[in-house]
Amino acid sequence: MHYEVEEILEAIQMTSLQNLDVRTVTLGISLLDISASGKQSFINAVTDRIRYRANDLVKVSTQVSGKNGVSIVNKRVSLTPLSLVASPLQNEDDFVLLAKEVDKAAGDIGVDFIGGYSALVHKAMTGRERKFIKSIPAALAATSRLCSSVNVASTRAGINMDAVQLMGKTVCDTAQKTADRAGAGCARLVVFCNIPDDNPFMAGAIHGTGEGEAALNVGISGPGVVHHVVQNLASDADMGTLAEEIKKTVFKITRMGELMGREVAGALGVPFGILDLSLAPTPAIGDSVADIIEAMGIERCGGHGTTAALAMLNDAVKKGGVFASSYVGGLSGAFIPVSEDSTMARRAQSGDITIDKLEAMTSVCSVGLDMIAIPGDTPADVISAIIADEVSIGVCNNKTTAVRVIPVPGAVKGDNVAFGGLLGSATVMEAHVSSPSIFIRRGGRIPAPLLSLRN
Amino acid sequence: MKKHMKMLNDLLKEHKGENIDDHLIEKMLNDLGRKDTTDQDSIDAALRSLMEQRDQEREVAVVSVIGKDTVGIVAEVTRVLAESNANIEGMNQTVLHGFFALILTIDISVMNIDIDALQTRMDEVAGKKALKIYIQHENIFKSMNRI
Repeated sequence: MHYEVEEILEAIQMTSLQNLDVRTVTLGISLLDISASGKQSFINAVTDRIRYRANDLVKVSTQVSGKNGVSIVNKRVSLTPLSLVASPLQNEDDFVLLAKEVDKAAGDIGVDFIGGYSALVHKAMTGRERKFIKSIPAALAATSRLCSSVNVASTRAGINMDAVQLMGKTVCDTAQKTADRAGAGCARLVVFCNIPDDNPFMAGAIHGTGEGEAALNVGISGPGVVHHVVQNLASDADMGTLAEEIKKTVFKITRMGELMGREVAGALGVPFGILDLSLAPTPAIGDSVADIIEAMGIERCGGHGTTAALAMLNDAVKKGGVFASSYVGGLSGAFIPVSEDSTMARRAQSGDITIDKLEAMTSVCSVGLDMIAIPGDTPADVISAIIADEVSIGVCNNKTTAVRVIPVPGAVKGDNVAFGGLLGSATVMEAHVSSPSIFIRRGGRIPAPLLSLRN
Repeated sequence: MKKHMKMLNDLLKEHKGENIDDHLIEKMLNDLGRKDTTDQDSIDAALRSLMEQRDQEREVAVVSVIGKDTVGIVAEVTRVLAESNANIEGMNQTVLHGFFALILTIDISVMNIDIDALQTRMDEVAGKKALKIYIQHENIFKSMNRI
């Protein structure tokens, strides 16, 4: 097959200059058939399964990366939500012991993160699930790779406000228990609405109950590549041209991601699951979703017009990607994590981006209020209310939304907090201080919404 | 027709090796000739099929050499490729924004080292000559640019 020099140089430019990489290959592992009855034998069975299934994940990913000259940044594992399968464990201490052992297994096989310390309580909670959720702060404090997620709402069930209330307190407790790391335990805790079964991105990756024994899911990156394309267009190029160019670029990066994912899956002998069509930024300069929005013509991300620009970007990403992949799933959309996106973090610092604008943006893109640092003394009820607002957007729009906020202990509005590595750094943003306590403490469930007569 | 028979004969030998039974080749060619002495299309199709089969067994990578043009770049790069038993199938040289770009397509199926080791050797050349050398399996370009 003949390749044009331009095609080859374009690919090299994308991978070497524009930060194009495969953000994550995530191996989903089912624990549904583990039937050990004793506490220790159950924990051993879980960790043996992780070691057996994912033993070669890092080695194979490195080989595929070397062969194709495209780096795979993260190698991860996701598990069946542990609250569903951990029936031999009865109390919070047992759950924390499981968390430590799972974290150790993840360390032994060399993966960056392991997800699945999770509960699905969108309609109601069992007593054991409540205990499981209460164990999350201690579990995250005692681990470094383990990620936790809790689904508190769905379009079909509505919003479990008891769980929302509990999660506000859980986020606060996690921050307090990891105060020595600026509350960074909260970076591994995410509260969901309509959690996907096959999301490869952390902290919310789980291997859902409808999945098979194992599946390899892939998350692509590419904000830098899209930014380059948008930046090179004339400032008077119309929206149709803009959308078309973004689609073409996303098509290419999606095909690359699919190829890499299929090669890793093939070498591991597991089925290829899905490709997550997300534009995932990193703190690296030039790998920012906010940069794309500004290249489209918004002076500073967060200004009026940002939501429209993001909506168009998100739609073009999906349209470009769906034809390029056989199976699209996960979160699939542009991410707007504040601390992990250098330009977004700068705009938060200058006050151009506020928590309210971010909430509006999440109604048209992927995920939700992500990696936002808030003052350490933010009351738990306020965090619950932030969660309630965000999951409402997901419930009513039949989409996934989530909240990953970090109430940084001792920090106040304007402080700059570094979380390290891919988690980046962020300026502490103020949440509204008026009390939502009476509303939050009503408890119960907000009924599922009417999905016709939509206005 | 005779020209095609000869090409077919050569291709079969290239594909199957010199050990292939000459009688068998002759019989196949005679059968083909009897069946379709007038049908040029079927002979072309047979040739295409053989070439495609040969293509499937090749494994192609692309070596991209980018940097400032100096004496001996091609010599250094091709020396490493020859030592690694990588057959050069195509070579394209251009100057882009003042930079030298050499693109080689190589068959890596019979290399005596793996692609990572080849990259390491090329990195040594790159260091010596102040270049960037990328080796990538052709599947990347195929997936991004061909449907």
